[in-house]
Amino acid sequence: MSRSVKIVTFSFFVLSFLLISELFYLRSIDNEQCLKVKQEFVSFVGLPDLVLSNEPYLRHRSLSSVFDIYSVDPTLREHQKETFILTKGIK
Amino acid sequence: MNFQLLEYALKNLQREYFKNLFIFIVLTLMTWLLGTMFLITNSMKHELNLTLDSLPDIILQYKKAGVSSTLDERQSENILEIPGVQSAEGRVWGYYYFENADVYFSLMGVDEFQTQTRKSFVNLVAKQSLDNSSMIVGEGVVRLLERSYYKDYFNFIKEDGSVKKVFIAGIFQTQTQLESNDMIVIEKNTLRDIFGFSEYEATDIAVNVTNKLEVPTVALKITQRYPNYRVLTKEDMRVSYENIFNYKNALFLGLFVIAIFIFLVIVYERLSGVSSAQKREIGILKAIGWRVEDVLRVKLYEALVISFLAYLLGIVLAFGFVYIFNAPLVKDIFLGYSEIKPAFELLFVFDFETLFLLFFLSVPIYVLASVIPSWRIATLDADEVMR
Repeated sequence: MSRSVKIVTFSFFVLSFLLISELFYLRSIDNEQCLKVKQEFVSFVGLPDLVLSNEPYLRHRSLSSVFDIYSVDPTLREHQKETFILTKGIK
Repeated sequence: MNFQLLEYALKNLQREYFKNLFIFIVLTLMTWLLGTMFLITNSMKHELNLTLDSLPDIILQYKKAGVSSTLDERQSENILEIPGVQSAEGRVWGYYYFENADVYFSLMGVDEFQTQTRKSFVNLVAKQSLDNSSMIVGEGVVRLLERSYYKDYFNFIKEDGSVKKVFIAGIFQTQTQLESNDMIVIEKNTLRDIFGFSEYEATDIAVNVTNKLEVPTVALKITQRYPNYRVLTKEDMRVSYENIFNYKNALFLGLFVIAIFIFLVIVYERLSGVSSAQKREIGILKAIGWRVEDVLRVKLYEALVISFLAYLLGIVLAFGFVYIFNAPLVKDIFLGYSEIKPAFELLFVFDFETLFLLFFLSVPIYVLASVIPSWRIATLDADEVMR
Protein backbone atom coordinates (compact mmCIF):
# COMPACT_ATOMS: atom_id res chain seq x y z
CA MET A 1 0.00 0.00 0.00
CA SER A 2 1.55 3.30 -1.06
CA ARG A 3 1.74 6.48 1.01
CA SER A 4 -1.11 8.24 -0.83
CA VAL A 5 -3.47 5.27 -0.33
CA LYS A 6 -2.55 5.23 3.35
CA ILE A 7 -3.30 8.97 3.66
CA VAL A 8 -6.73 8.61 2.00
CA THR A 9 -7.62 5.56 4.11
CA PHE A 10 -6.44 7.36 7.23
CA SER A 11 -8.48 10.48 6.34
CA PHE A 12 -11.58 8.36 5.78
CA PHE A 13 -11.25 6.64 9.17
CA VAL A 14 -10.43 9.89 10.98
CA LEU A 15 -13.49 11.65 9.52
CA SER A 16 -15.75 8.66 10.24
CA PHE A 17 -14.41 8.49 13.79
CA LEU A 18 -14.96 12.24 14.24
CA LEU A 19 -18.54 11.98 12.97
CA ILE A 20 -19.37 9.02 15.20
CA SER A 21 -17.79 10.61 18.29
CA GLU A 22 -19.59 13.88 17.56
CA LEU A 23 -22.92 12.05 17.32
CA PHE A 24 -22.24 10.09 20.54
CA TYR A 25 -21.27 13.30 22.36
CA LEU A 26 -24.38 15.13 21.15
CA ARG A 27 -26.59 12.19 22.08
CA SER A 28 -25.10 12.10 25.57
CA ILE A 29 -26.30 15.66 26.27
CA ASP A 30 -29.52 15.45 28.23
CA ASN A 31 -32.15 17.14 26.09
CA GLU A 32 -35.11 15.61 27.88
CA GLN A 33 -34.82 17.73 31.02
CA CYS A 34 -34.35 20.86 28.92
CA LEU A 35 -37.41 20.03 26.80
CA LYS A 36 -39.48 19.35 29.91
CA VAL A 37 -38.66 22.80 31.31
CA LYS A 38 -39.50 24.41 27.95
CA GLN A 39 -42.85 22.57 27.83
CA GLU A 40 -43.63 23.66 31.37
CA PHE A 41 -42.88 27.25 30.46
CA VAL A 42 -45.12 27.19 27.39
CA SER A 43 -47.85 25.49 29.36
CA PHE A 44 -47.50 28.19 32.08
CA VAL A 45 -47.67 31.26 29.83
CA GLY A 46 -49.77 29.67 27.06
CA LEU A 47 -48.21 31.74 24.26
CA PRO A 48 -46.83 30.25 21.05
CA ASP A 49 -43.72 30.90 18.92
CA LEU A 50 -40.04 31.30 19.65
CA VAL A 51 -38.10 34.52 20.13
CA LEU A 52 -37.14 34.41 16.49
CA SER A 53 -38.31 37.89 15.73
CA ASN A 54 -39.04 40.76 18.06
CA GLU A 55 -40.92 42.99 15.75
CA PRO A 56 -44.26 44.23 17.09
CA TYR A 57 -47.09 41.78 16.53
CA LEU A 58 -44.69 39.27 15.04
CA ARG A 59 -43.21 37.90 18.26
CA HIS A 60 -46.32 35.78 18.74
CA ARG A 61 -47.01 35.72 15.05
CA SER A 62 -49.30 32.70 15.23
CA LEU A 63 -51.72 34.88 17.19
CA SER A 64 -51.42 37.83 14.82
CA SER A 65 -53.34 38.55 11.68
CA VAL A 66 -52.11 40.42 8.63
CA PHE A 67 -54.09 43.50 9.62
CA ASP A 68 -52.51 43.69 13.07
CA ILE A 69 -49.55 45.58 11.64
CA TYR A 70 -52.01 48.40 10.89
CA SER A 71 -53.18 48.41 14.48
CA VAL A 72 -54.46 51.63 16.01
CA ASP A 73 -53.13 50.86 19.49
CA PRO A 74 -51.46 54.11 20.67
CA THR A 75 -49.06 52.49 23.15
CA LEU A 76 -47.01 50.82 20.44
CA ARG A 77 -44.53 52.77 18.38
CA GLU A 78 -44.48 51.82 14.76
CA HIS A 79 -41.17 51.10 13.12
CA GLN A 80 -42.35 49.01 10.27
CA LYS A 81 -42.42 50.52 6.82
CA GLU A 82 -45.90 49.08 6.40
CA THR A 83 -47.25 51.59 8.91
CA PHE A 84 -46.62 54.43 6.45
CA ILE A 85 -46.10 57.14 9.07
CA LEU A 86 -43.03 56.68 11.24
CA THR A 87 -43.05 58.67 14.48
CA LYS A 88 -39.89 59.07 16.50
CA GLY A 89 -39.81 58.11 20.16
CA ILE A 90 -37.95 59.95 22.92
CA LYS A 91 -34.30 58.88 22.95
CA MET B 1 -11.09 -3.10 -3.60
CA ASN B 2 -8.14 -3.03 -6.00
CA PHE B 3 -5.46 -1.01 -4.17
CA GLN B 4 -3.25 -0.72 -7.24
CA LEU B 5 -6.05 0.93 -9.20
CA LEU B 6 -6.80 3.16 -6.20
CA GLU B 7 -3.14 4.18 -6.09
CA TYR B 8 -3.25 5.00 -9.79
CA ALA B 9 -6.42 7.05 -9.26
CA LEU B 10 -4.78 9.03 -6.45
CA LYS B 11 -1.74 9.73 -8.64
CA ASN B 12 -4.16 11.03 -11.27
CA LEU B 13 -5.74 13.34 -8.71
CA GLN B 14 -2.32 14.64 -7.67
CA ARG B 15 -1.53 15.50 -11.27
CA GLU B 16 -4.34 18.10 -11.27
CA TYR B 17 -3.88 18.99 -7.64
CA PHE B 18 -5.33 22.54 -7.53
CA LYS B 19 -8.35 21.74 -9.70
CA ASN B 20 -9.27 18.76 -7.56
CA LEU B 21 -8.61 20.68 -4.35
CA PHE B 22 -11.02 23.39 -5.54
CA ILE B 23 -13.71 20.79 -6.30
CA PHE B 24 -13.15 19.23 -2.85
CA ILE B 25 -13.53 22.61 -1.12
CA VAL B 26 -16.68 23.53 -3.08
CA LEU B 27 -18.29 20.16 -2.32
CA THR B 28 -17.37 20.44 1.38
CA LEU B 29 -18.78 23.96 1.61
CA MET B 30 -21.96 22.96 -0.15
CA THR B 31 -22.53 20.00 2.17
CA TRP B 32 -21.73 22.16 5.21
CA LEU B 33 -24.07 24.96 4.15
CA LEU B 34 -26.98 22.68 3.34
CA GLY B 35 -26.31 20.58 6.44
CA THR B 36 -26.29 23.69 8.64
CA MET B 37 -29.59 24.87 7.16
CA PHE B 38 -31.31 21.52 7.62
CA LEU B 39 -29.96 20.95 11.13
CA ILE B 40 -31.00 24.39 12.45
CA THR B 41 -34.44 24.08 10.87
CA ASN B 42 -34.91 20.55 12.21
CA SER B 43 -33.92 21.57 15.74
CA MET B 44 -36.25 24.55 15.85
CA LYS B 45 -39.14 22.67 14.27
CA HIS B 46 -38.64 19.82 16.73
CA GLU B 47 -38.69 22.23 19.67
CA LEU B 48 -41.75 24.09 18.39
CA ASN B 49 -43.70 20.93 17.69
CA LEU B 50 -42.95 19.55 21.13
CA THR B 51 -43.98 22.75 22.91
CA LEU B 52 -47.08 23.00 20.72
CA ASP B 53 -48.77 20.32 22.81
CA SER B 54 -48.47 22.52 25.90
CA LEU B 55 -50.58 25.31 24.38
CA PRO B 56 -54.35 25.69 24.87
CA ASP B 57 -56.43 23.69 22.35
CA ILE B 58 -58.22 26.77 21.01
CA ILE B 59 -57.49 30.49 21.34
CA LEU B 60 -60.26 33.00 20.70
CA GLN B 61 -59.55 36.56 19.64
CA TYR B 62 -62.14 39.26 19.25
CA LYS B 63 -62.27 41.14 15.98
CA LYS B 64 -63.73 44.60 15.74
CA ALA B 65 -63.64 46.67 12.54
CA GLY B 66 -61.30 44.08 11.08
CA VAL B 67 -58.57 44.42 13.69
CA SER B 68 -57.89 42.54 16.92
CA SER B 69 -59.63 44.03 19.89
CA THR B 70 -59.96 43.25 23.58
CA LEU B 71 -62.95 41.32 24.90
CA ASP B 72 -64.96 40.86 28.06
CA GLU B 73 -63.52 38.06 30.19
CA ARG B 74 -67.05 37.02 31.21
CA GLN B 75 -67.65 35.85 27.64
CA SER B 76 -65.77 32.71 28.62
CA GLU B 77 -68.85 31.63 30.57
CA ASN B 78 -70.79 31.43 27.29
CA ILE B 79 -68.02 29.36 25.73
CA LEU B 80 -68.17 26.95 28.67
CA GLU B 81 -71.79 26.13 27.76
CA ILE B 82 -70.67 24.52 24.49
CA PRO B 83 -70.62 20.73 24.94
CA GLY B 84 -67.10 19.29 25.05
CA VAL B 85 -65.42 22.42 26.42
CA GLN B 86 -63.36 21.60 29.49
CA SER B 87 -62.23 25.10 30.42
CA ALA B 88 -62.35 28.62 29.05
CA GLU B 89 -60.31 31.39 30.59
CA GLY B 90 -59.82 35.04 29.67
CA ARG B 91 -56.15 35.96 29.36
CA VAL B 92 -54.48 39.33 29.69
CA TRP B 93 -51.36 39.75 27.63
CA GLY B 94 -49.80 42.20 25.23
CA TYR B 95 -46.69 44.04 24.16
CA TYR B 96 -44.85 46.85 25.91
CA TYR B 97 -42.52 49.14 24.01
CA PHE B 98 -39.26 49.84 25.84
CA GLU B 99 -38.09 53.08 24.34
CA ASN B 100 -34.45 53.01 25.54
CA ALA B 101 -33.62 49.80 23.69
CA ASP B 102 -36.22 50.08 20.93
CA VAL B 103 -37.61 46.64 21.71
CA TYR B 104 -40.97 45.13 22.54
CA PHE B 105 -41.46 43.03 25.65
CA SER B 106 -44.23 40.43 25.81
CA LEU B 107 -46.26 40.82 29.00
CA MET B 108 -48.38 37.95 30.24
CA GLY B 109 -50.79 38.24 33.14
CA VAL B 110 -51.24 35.32 35.51
CA ASP B 111 -53.30 34.83 38.63
CA GLU B 112 -51.26 35.09 41.81
CA PHE B 113 -52.44 31.71 43.08
CA GLN B 114 -51.36 30.06 39.81
CA THR B 115 -47.70 30.50 40.76
CA GLN B 116 -48.27 29.25 44.28
CA THR B 117 -50.20 26.10 43.40
CA ARG B 118 -48.32 25.08 40.29
CA LYS B 119 -45.67 22.50 41.16
CA SER B 120 -43.77 22.91 37.91
CA PHE B 121 -43.29 26.61 38.57
CA VAL B 122 -40.30 25.81 40.78
CA ASN B 123 -38.54 24.40 37.69
CA LEU B 124 -38.99 27.63 35.80
CA VAL B 125 -37.74 30.21 38.26
CA ALA B 126 -35.48 29.83 41.26
CA LYS B 127 -37.33 32.47 43.29
CA GLN B 128 -41.01 31.87 42.95
CA SER B 129 -42.95 34.52 44.81
CA LEU B 130 -45.17 36.69 42.67
CA ASP B 131 -47.48 39.35 44.04
CA ASN B 132 -49.24 42.39 42.64
CA SER B 133 -46.08 44.53 42.75
CA SER B 134 -43.61 42.04 41.31
CA MET B 135 -42.83 40.30 38.04
CA ILE B 136 -40.79 37.43 36.65
CA VAL B 137 -38.73 38.24 33.60
CA GLY B 138 -36.69 36.56 30.89
CA GLU B 139 -32.91 36.88 30.73
CA GLY B 140 -33.00 39.21 27.73
CA VAL B 141 -35.31 41.59 29.60
CA VAL B 142 -33.00 41.69 32.63
CA ARG B 143 -30.01 42.40 30.39
CA LEU B 144 -31.74 45.34 28.71
CA LEU B 145 -33.17 46.75 31.95
CA GLU B 146 -29.74 46.63 33.61
CA ARG B 147 -28.32 48.55 30.70
CA SER B 148 -30.82 51.29 31.58
CA TYR B 149 -29.92 51.08 35.31
CA TYR B 150 -33.04 49.17 36.36
CA LYS B 151 -31.62 46.45 38.56
CA ASP B 152 -34.35 45.56 41.05
CA TYR B 153 -37.44 47.14 39.57
CA PHE B 154 -38.88 48.73 36.46
CA ASN B 155 -41.14 51.75 36.03
CA PHE B 156 -43.87 50.93 33.53
CA ILE B 157 -45.44 53.95 31.90
CA LYS B 158 -49.17 53.42 32.02
CA GLU B 159 -51.63 54.43 29.35
CA ASP B 160 -52.57 57.63 31.24
CA GLY B 161 -48.88 58.65 31.53
CA SER B 162 -48.43 57.79 35.22
CA VAL B 163 -45.76 55.35 36.41
CA LYS B 164 -46.24 51.87 37.84
CA LYS B 165 -43.26 50.54 39.78
CA VAL B 166 -42.92 46.75 39.60
CA PHE B 167 -40.11 44.79 41.30
CA ILE B 168 -38.22 41.95 39.66
CA ALA B 169 -39.02 38.82 41.69
CA GLY B 170 -37.26 36.24 39.58
CA ILE B 171 -35.68 35.34 36.27
CA PHE B 172 -36.73 32.48 34.02
CA GLN B 173 -34.22 29.67 33.59
CA THR B 174 -31.63 29.96 30.84
CA GLN B 175 -32.91 26.73 29.25
CA THR B 176 -36.14 28.47 28.29
CA GLN B 177 -34.46 31.44 26.61
CA LEU B 178 -35.81 30.64 23.20
CA GLU B 179 -39.32 31.02 24.63
CA SER B 180 -38.84 33.38 27.58
CA ASN B 181 -36.12 35.83 26.56
CA ASP B 182 -38.48 38.79 26.00
CA MET B 183 -41.22 37.67 28.39
CA ILE B 184 -42.46 39.41 31.51
CA VAL B 185 -44.92 37.49 33.65
CA ILE B 186 -46.89 39.71 35.95
CA GLU B 187 -49.98 39.52 38.14
CA LYS B 188 -53.13 39.81 36.01
CA ASN B 189 -54.70 42.86 37.65
CA THR B 190 -51.37 44.70 37.78
CA LEU B 191 -51.06 44.13 34.05
CA ARG B 192 -54.61 45.42 33.51
CA ASP B 193 -53.55 48.54 35.39
CA ILE B 194 -50.47 48.98 33.15
CA PHE B 195 -52.40 48.43 29.92
CA GLY B 196 -55.29 50.60 31.09
CA PHE B 197 -57.78 47.73 30.83
CA SER B 198 -61.07 47.75 32.72
CA GLU B 199 -61.88 45.14 35.39
CA TYR B 200 -63.01 42.34 33.08
CA GLU B 201 -61.14 43.35 29.94
CA ALA B 202 -58.98 40.58 28.46
CA THR B 203 -56.84 40.05 25.36
CA ASP B 204 -58.17 36.64 24.36
CA ILE B 205 -59.78 33.47 25.67
CA ALA B 206 -57.90 30.17 26.02
CA VAL B 207 -60.15 27.16 25.56
CA ASN B 208 -59.35 23.53 26.40
CA VAL B 209 -61.39 20.63 25.07
CA THR B 210 -61.85 17.36 26.98
CA ASN B 211 -61.63 15.07 23.95
CA LYS B 212 -58.86 16.32 21.68
CA LEU B 213 -60.56 14.72 18.65
CA GLU B 214 -63.46 17.11 19.14
CA VAL B 215 -61.34 20.28 18.78
CA PRO B 216 -62.37 20.97 15.13
CA THR B 217 -66.06 20.44 16.03
CA VAL B 218 -65.87 22.78 19.03
CA ALA B 219 -63.96 25.35 16.93
CA LEU B 220 -66.69 25.17 14.27
CA LYS B 221 -69.43 25.63 16.87
CA ILE B 222 -67.70 28.71 18.28
CA THR B 223 -67.27 30.17 14.79
CA GLN B 224 -70.96 29.63 14.02
CA ARG B 225 -72.18 31.07 17.31
CA TYR B 226 -69.75 33.97 17.54
CA PRO B 227 -68.73 35.13 14.05
CA ASN B 228 -66.72 38.02 15.51
CA TYR B 229 -64.24 35.65 17.11
CA ARG B 230 -61.09 34.61 15.33
CA VAL B 231 -60.73 30.95 16.25
CA LEU B 232 -57.19 29.52 16.31
CA THR B 233 -56.61 25.83 16.92
CA LYS B 234 -53.32 24.03 17.55
CA GLU B 235 -53.45 22.76 13.99
CA ASP B 236 -53.56 26.36 12.72
CA MET B 237 -50.49 27.13 14.80
CA ARG B 238 -48.65 24.10 13.49
CA VAL B 239 -49.30 25.34 9.95
CA SER B 240 -48.12 28.81 11.00
CA TYR B 241 -44.88 27.28 12.34
CA GLU B 242 -44.34 25.51 9.03
CA ASN B 243 -44.82 28.80 7.18
CA ILE B 244 -42.22 30.70 9.17
CA PHE B 245 -39.61 28.04 8.48
CA ASN B 246 -40.49 27.89 4.82
CA TYR B 247 -39.98 31.65 4.71
CA LYS B 248 -36.69 31.56 6.61
CA ASN B 249 -35.49 28.66 4.51
CA ALA B 250 -36.03 30.79 1.44
CA LEU B 251 -33.30 33.12 2.73
CA PHE B 252 -30.99 30.15 2.98
CA LEU B 253 -32.03 29.18 -0.50
CA GLY B 254 -30.20 32.27 -1.78
CA LEU B 255 -26.94 30.94 -0.35
CA PHE B 256 -27.79 27.45 -1.54
CA VAL B 257 -28.39 28.60 -5.12
CA ILE B 258 -24.89 30.12 -5.28
CA ALA B 259 -23.32 26.92 -3.96
CA ILE B 260 -25.34 24.66 -6.25
CA PHE B 261 -24.55 26.89 -9.23
CA ILE B 262 -20.80 26.49 -8.70
CA PHE B 263 -21.33 22.75 -8.25
CA LEU B 264 -23.33 22.52 -11.47
CA VAL B 265 -20.59 24.38 -13.35
CA ILE B 266 -18.16 21.69 -12.18
CA VAL B 267 -20.59 18.94 -13.20
CA TYR B 268 -21.10 20.58 -16.60
CA GLU B 269 -17.37 20.83 -17.12
CA ARG B 270 -17.08 17.12 -16.32
CA LEU B 271 -20.03 16.08 -18.50
CA SER B 272 -19.06 18.21 -21.49
CA GLY B 273 -16.24 15.82 -22.17
CA VAL B 274 -12.79 14.88 -21.09
CA SER B 275 -9.73 16.88 -22.10
CA SER B 276 -7.48 15.72 -24.95
CA ALA B 277 -4.80 14.72 -22.41
CA GLN B 278 -7.29 12.52 -20.59
CA LYS B 279 -8.47 11.03 -23.89
CA ARG B 280 -4.89 10.17 -24.79
CA GLU B 281 -4.39 8.66 -21.36
CA ILE B 282 -7.45 6.40 -21.72
CA GLY B 283 -6.28 5.42 -25.22
CA ILE B 284 -2.82 4.44 -23.96
CA LEU B 285 -4.29 2.50 -21.07
CA LYS B 286 -6.52 0.55 -23.46
CA ALA B 287 -3.60 -0.02 -25.87
CA ILE B 288 -1.50 -1.58 -23.11
CA GLY B 289 -4.30 -3.95 -22.21
CA TRP B 290 -6.57 -2.24 -19.70
CA ARG B 291 -10.18 -3.29 -19.88
CA VAL B 292 -13.09 -0.80 -20.01
CA GLU B 293 -14.09 -1.71 -16.48
CA ASP B 294 -10.56 -0.99 -15.18
CA VAL B 295 -10.64 2.51 -16.70
CA LEU B 296 -14.09 3.13 -15.26
CA ARG B 297 -13.02 1.81 -11.88
CA VAL B 298 -10.14 4.30 -11.78
CA LYS B 299 -12.53 7.17 -12.60
CA LEU B 300 -14.97 5.89 -9.99
CA TYR B 301 -12.24 5.84 -7.33
CA GLU B 302 -11.17 9.36 -8.27
CA ALA B 303 -14.71 10.70 -7.97
CA LEU B 304 -15.50 8.76 -4.81
CA VAL B 305 -12.34 9.88 -2.99
CA ILE B 306 -13.14 13.55 -3.65
CA SER B 307 -16.92 13.51 -3.17
CA PHE B 308 -17.21 11.10 -0.25
CA LEU B 309 -14.42 12.70 1.79
CA ALA B 310 -15.93 16.13 1.06
CA TYR B 311 -19.34 14.83 2.17
CA LEU B 312 -17.95 13.39 5.42
CA LEU B 313 -16.00 16.56 6.21
CA GLY B 314 -19.02 18.75 5.39
CA ILE B 315 -21.26 16.73 7.72
CA VAL B 316 -18.71 16.74 10.56
CA LEU B 317 -18.31 20.51 10.20
CA ALA B 318 -22.09 21.08 10.04
CA PHE B 319 -22.78 19.05 13.22
CA GLY B 320 -19.96 20.79 15.09
CA PHE B 321 -20.93 24.24 13.82
CA VAL B 322 -24.62 23.89 14.69
CA TYR B 323 -24.65 21.89 17.93
CA ILE B 324 -21.25 22.58 19.51
CA PHE B 325 -20.66 26.20 18.44
CA ASN B 326 -24.41 27.03 18.19
CA ALA B 327 -24.27 28.23 14.58
CA PRO B 328 -22.76 31.71 15.02
CA LEU B 329 -23.82 34.26 12.34
CA VAL B 330 -26.02 31.77 10.47
CA LYS B 331 -28.34 31.57 13.49
CA ASP B 332 -28.97 35.31 13.16
CA ILE B 333 -30.87 34.70 9.92
CA PHE B 334 -33.52 33.01 12.04
CA LEU B 335 -33.38 35.53 14.87
CA GLY B 336 -34.07 38.76 13.03
CA TYR B 337 -32.44 42.07 13.88
CA SER B 338 -33.76 42.87 17.33
CA GLU B 339 -31.49 43.84 20.23
CA ILE B 340 -33.14 41.24 22.44
CA LYS B 341 -31.63 38.20 20.79
CA PRO B 342 -31.47 35.09 22.94
CA ALA B 343 -28.22 33.16 23.45
CA PHE B 344 -29.96 29.82 23.15
CA GLU B 345 -28.65 26.34 22.52
CA LEU B 346 -30.12 24.28 19.72
CA LEU B 347 -31.56 20.91 20.69
CA PHE B 348 -29.82 17.99 19.03
CA VAL B 349 -32.03 16.13 16.57
CA PHE B 350 -30.56 13.22 14.64
CA ASP B 351 -32.33 12.87 11.34
CA PHE B 352 -31.25 10.15 8.90
CA GLU B 353 -33.30 11.73 6.13
CA THR B 354 -31.13 14.86 6.21
CA LEU B 355 -27.93 12.82 5.93
CA PHE B 356 -29.34 10.80 3.00
CA LEU B 357 -30.60 13.92 1.26
CA LEU B 358 -27.19 15.59 1.52
CA PHE B 359 -25.50 12.42 0.32
CA PHE B 360 -27.71 12.09 -2.77
CA LEU B 361 -27.34 15.81 -3.55
CA SER B 362 -23.56 15.57 -3.75
CA VAL B 363 -21.86 12.16 -4.08
CA PRO B 364 -23.86 10.30 -6.79
CA ILE B 365 -24.19 13.42 -8.99
CA TYR B 366 -20.46 14.04 -8.93
CA VAL B 367 -19.60 10.36 -9.44
CA LEU B 368 -21.90 10.07 -12.45
CA ALA B 369 -20.59 13.33 -13.91
CA SER B 370 -17.07 11.90 -13.72
CA VAL B 371 -17.70 8.35 -14.90
CA ILE B 372 -20.10 8.90 -17.83
CA PRO B 373 -17.70 10.94 -20.08
CA SER B 374 -14.88 8.45 -19.36
CA TRP B 375 -17.19 5.56 -20.24
CA ARG B 376 -17.96 7.23 -23.60
CA ILE B 377 -14.23 7.39 -24.40
CA ALA B 378 -13.34 3.99 -22.95
CA THR B 379 -15.84 2.13 -25.14
CA LEU B 380 -14.12 3.40 -28.31
CA ASP B 381 -11.16 1.61 -29.95
CA ALA B 382 -7.73 2.56 -28.60
CA ASP B 383 -6.37 3.70 -31.96
CA GLU B 384 -9.45 5.79 -32.64
CA VAL B 385 -9.12 7.54 -29.27
CA MET B 386 -5.41 8.29 -29.72
CA ARG B 387 -5.87 9.51 -33.27
